[in-house]
Amino acid sequence: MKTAVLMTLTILTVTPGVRADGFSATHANGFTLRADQRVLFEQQHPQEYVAAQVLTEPAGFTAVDGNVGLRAELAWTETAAELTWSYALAAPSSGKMTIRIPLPESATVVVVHGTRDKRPKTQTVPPGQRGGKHSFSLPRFLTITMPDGTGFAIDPLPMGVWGLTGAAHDGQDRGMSMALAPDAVTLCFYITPTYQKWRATLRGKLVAYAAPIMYDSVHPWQTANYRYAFERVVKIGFTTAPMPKKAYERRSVTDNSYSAEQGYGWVAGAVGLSVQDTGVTGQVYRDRVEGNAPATFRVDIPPGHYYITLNFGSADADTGPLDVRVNGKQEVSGLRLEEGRFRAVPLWVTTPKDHILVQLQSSAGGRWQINALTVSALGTLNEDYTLTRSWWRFAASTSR
Amino acid sequence: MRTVIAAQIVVLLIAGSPAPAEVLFEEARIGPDTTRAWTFALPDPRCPPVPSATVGTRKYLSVGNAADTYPDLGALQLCLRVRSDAAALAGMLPFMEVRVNGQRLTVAELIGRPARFRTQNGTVVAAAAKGTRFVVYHAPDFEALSTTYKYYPTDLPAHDPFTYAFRITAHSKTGPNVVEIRNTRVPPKQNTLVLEDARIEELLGDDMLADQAEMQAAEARRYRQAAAAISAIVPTIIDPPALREIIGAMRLTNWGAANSSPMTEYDLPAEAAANAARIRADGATAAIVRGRHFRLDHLGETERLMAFYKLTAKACHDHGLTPFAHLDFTLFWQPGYATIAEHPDWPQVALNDGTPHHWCCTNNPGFREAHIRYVEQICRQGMVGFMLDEINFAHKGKHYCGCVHCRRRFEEATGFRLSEHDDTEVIGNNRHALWRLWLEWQHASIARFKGELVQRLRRINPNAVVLTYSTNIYGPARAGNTFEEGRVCFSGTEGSNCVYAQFANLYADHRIADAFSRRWARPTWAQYPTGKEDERVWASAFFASVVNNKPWGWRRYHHGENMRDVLAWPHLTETMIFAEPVADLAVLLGTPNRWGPPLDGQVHAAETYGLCQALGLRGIQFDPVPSRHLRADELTRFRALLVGYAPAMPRSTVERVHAWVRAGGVAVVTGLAGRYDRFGFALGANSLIRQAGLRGVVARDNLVYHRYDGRLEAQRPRVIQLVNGTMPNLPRRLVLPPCYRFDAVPAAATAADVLATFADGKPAICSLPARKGRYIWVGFLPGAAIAQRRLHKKSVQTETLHPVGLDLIAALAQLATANTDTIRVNGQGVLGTAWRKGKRVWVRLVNVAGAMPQAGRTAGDVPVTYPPLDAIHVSTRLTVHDPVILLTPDVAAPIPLPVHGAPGGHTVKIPPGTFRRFAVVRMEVAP
Repeated sequence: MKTAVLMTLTILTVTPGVRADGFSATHANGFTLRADQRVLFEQQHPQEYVAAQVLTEPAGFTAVDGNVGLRAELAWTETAAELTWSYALAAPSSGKMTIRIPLPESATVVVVHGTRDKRPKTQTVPPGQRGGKHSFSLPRFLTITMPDGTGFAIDPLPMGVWGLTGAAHDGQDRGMSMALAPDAVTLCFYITPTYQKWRATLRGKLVAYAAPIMYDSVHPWQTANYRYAFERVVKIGFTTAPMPKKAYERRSVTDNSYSAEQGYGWVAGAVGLSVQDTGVTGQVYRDRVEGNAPATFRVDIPPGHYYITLNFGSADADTGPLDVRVNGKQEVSGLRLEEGRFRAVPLWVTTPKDHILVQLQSSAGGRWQINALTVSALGTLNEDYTLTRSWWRFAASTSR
Repeated sequence: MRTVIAAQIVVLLIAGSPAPAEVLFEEARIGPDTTRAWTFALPDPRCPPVPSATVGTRKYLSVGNAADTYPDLGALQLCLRVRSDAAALAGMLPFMEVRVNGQRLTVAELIGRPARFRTQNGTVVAAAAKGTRFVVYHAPDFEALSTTYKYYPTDLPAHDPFTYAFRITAHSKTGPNVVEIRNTRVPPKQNTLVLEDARIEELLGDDMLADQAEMQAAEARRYRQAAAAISAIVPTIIDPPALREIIGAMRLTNWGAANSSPMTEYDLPAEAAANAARIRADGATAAIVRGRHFRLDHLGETERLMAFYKLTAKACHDHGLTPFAHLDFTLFWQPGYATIAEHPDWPQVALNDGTPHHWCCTNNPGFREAHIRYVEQICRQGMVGFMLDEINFAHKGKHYCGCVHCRRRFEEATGFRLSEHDDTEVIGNNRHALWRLWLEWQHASIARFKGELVQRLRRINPNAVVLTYSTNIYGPARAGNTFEEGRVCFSGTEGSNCVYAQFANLYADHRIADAFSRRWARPTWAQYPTGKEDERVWASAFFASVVNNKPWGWRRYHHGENMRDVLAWPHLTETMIFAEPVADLAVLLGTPNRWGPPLDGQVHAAETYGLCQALGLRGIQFDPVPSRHLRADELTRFRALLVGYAPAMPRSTVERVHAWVRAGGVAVVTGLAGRYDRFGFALGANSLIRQAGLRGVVARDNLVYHRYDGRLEAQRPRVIQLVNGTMPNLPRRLVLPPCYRFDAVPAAATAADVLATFADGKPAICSLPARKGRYIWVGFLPGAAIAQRRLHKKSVQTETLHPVGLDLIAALAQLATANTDTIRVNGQGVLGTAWRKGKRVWVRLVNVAGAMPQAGRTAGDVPVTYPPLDAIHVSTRLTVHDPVILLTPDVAAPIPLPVHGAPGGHTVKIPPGTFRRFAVVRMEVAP
């Protein structure tokens, strides 16, 4: 017999942007999340957990039954509620965890979906066009907008495109589907059928936003391909070559001062910079900028993990010795290259700010040079559940 | 407004052999925004114009794209001198456009000058704006420029900026050809183009290459020395006898789920034991454990995973199974950042800009050690085989890896330094010797890592083995060389989930794979992940036996009953014994073509595959022989050799082939072979072309490869007439399936015998004597004409394996061996291969009559059927003890077959209906 554990109704008043939202939740073999009394989603565990305990946490709840491998938590911050789950499933592990998202009649639904190794597709479903049934194999994001501009968003892949391992069956990515019906969207998380004959752990994470934000604002980098490298999201060439017309091509920069509109440029030391031909062709090394005084180049970028690659060298002249600091941290010391030599220096950078500062200076009173700079995106901090945040919000000991 | 001046007609008569230069015009002046045109005629049948749709698109590899093939030899050239009539010396402007038959010439078609050059004042000048508008010097005349002139070209030949020469072969055609030259300046600009000495020249390409080879001899020697140094860094590891038995008898199946598994299958001792027992009872000899595939993402689970390996290994050993582990330790996603953040130098970086991948570099000492230690840990749990993915270099989007360790190791090994900047002349350019050397070094560095890994593992378990594999056995490739890794690994292929419908393609594929692996005294293995029960039986037991490989994809207890009778068959193990082929004919594998220009690599692969397929279907026994490590005495066991379109061959291989021919061998060469060495340096007088007694070979078709469909295009129908007495079993007039044609031009001193002619009377097949032996030079590519390409389930079959082509290739082989094969299988609808171990010879036969391609049929829809077979005759020159025995799972008891005497040997007749699916003829032979 199903035993519903009575919840203490907890309401937290938050202020996302200009509006005030309050998350609240109840649990009946799954959490129901509300914001301003509007139901954002209704979760159903993959099986009935008759002995589950529901614990009140500092900002959320944990449902737990250690004997049967249930752990689910609903945690919220000022702007979002995060649902995390782990279910030990006996063989055959065919149980499904579902999230039902009731749709107000007048809402417009925007679905972003599609495999991680390509750019996602976006489908907008206006009110009145939800007839029939729409299904999506890999839902990435769902935005529900009301005519008055209010609404909410559900992120079933909050760790971003790099956030899951490339071969995972355990309930997200390949074990995920979405169906759109006239009155609701239903998200389904399951062990992929090939693996259901054995016991398994269904685990995953979902984030609900109490505002109708769009996919791009949460996940600026949207492709993770097995065969391809991290996406190069900023490419700067310090060159007098004309600015390429296509946005994805390397930007040509000489002594351009920083502007927020461009999102990059020199914030210090731009005066006195000169550009030299390095005697080779190609987009990366053909020219370089050179200066006497220390100079700082800024690149706007969301807080996150990045590789920043710096390129140095000339066929006709020596390089350095020079030092490089990135966000104030000395990363390169006394780099010196003889004429005819070139070097790429990739650096792992975790930036908590919305930009990266690259400071160049000579290390021996001479001149410094740099040919190009490239930023490769590993993921934003908002997507990070490995290095700067843990997978579970609440300590296991708290969850008992 | 554009003004077109009426064409001045200049007719050149160019015969098939080289003609002297003919003048197009002596002097011409072209004003701004004006085009002038001239016409010349080519009466000789030669290449049609390159299909324009094949140029400049990813869809095709085409002779129209410079990067796809060897440089046009410039057989047909447009040469002229050009200046602007400005009165003063005032630099230069790009304003000359040239078209041939409407197609604009590009900077890639320039001969003898670089795409960019430098002037006295240090400026780097592009030879053409946007690749097509050529730079014209402002000069009052064509006098040599002063060395102090600031625009003096410091690195153009002879410091001459006025002379241009273009390759135009690809744009020319039989009949009238139009050359248009345009001054792109627009009035009021008044620069007039002044042109003089315009002429069309034709040279025989191999004559030009002879000069080039002499000039580059020293450089080519440096590369050969570097290649030898690279080869020396890789050990050749010999397997202990116990391991040879394990892999020689391997029939591999999955322990549980696939790579995405959490490794929880049968993770209790009783479950594991039951699973191992079931697997063994089903006839498999090895089980492969998969799951948590990208292991850098799961290092936090190491303790649990090691316990799982230990439990599984014990269960396998207890039940007579060899346990294998399958994982990847090189790629990572966000869960792996925890490790990579501590070792940010582990990822591979792009060669052109240094940006990192999510794929780690095994030349990084720290990563190398971490990888080896992780696998050692698994080995200590009792696992024996290790199938490790992606120990390789990333190869999509950009070229990898340009880390400091790779660059340093390459330089130390070879003495060469790879370009450190984004140098498109070298990086990714398969026409450049340095890039090909770099690829060879990359392959060696991977093999070296795996060799080190094997040696470390064998300190824990002397029978430990590392498996390596690739889907691409023999096509052009950017990534590793699986079969070079065979020096240290057990090599195989991922195979295909569509086996039956592309049996001919996989037959060639797996025969070639087997040959590479046997070189290192190991069998090869192949995965047959087909979902159809009857296809699984056909592939894993019958086909695998015929191609001598060890199958992965063996039946599991939960599969259907289809394989039951085969599993219960007491002769199964015998029929799958790893053995050596019985063959009088070698098929030379021109491996260096895989790393050269990709179009030529594809054509070489298609030709080689087609030759193997035809020999297989016509029952002619052969052995593919890798050319890269060809030993001096290696060909002596063969009577004949087939060399299918192989522009690149190691110089030592050319020398060894020629020595063997002179000693009495017969080499059948199709198209051309051995024009360049393994790095693309012209071999000139040392080329196989010249060694065979030819002055040169001229291509008469445009090679085109459709990348998406994986097929050759622009082949043309040909009719050849056989000379009486040649290949008497064939009709005298043969209508060949569409094929590429090449005209061989014999040297004056060569006593060539023409064996067949094209419709225009030119030689289609000729015999070229070489002391005791001879070359049979075939002026078309019969293999590429009939080859079955790689198919997938959704591929639609096309007209392949054309019987005329099959018969012709078989007849050429018989001509070469003088019809004295040690074993020959005569039968329709079967693949028959002969293998020997000690005093036993097995002829393995599988019914493929239901798999012959039918144009328009979808590969995935082809059902496995076994149409009744007619009588099959196996003829042999071996001394055979009577009777021979036929073993087949279709009949419970062995069937004795009488041996009949025949001229020069014996014949064994297998009556119609003796077997339905698969059979092995076992012969006891004299030593």
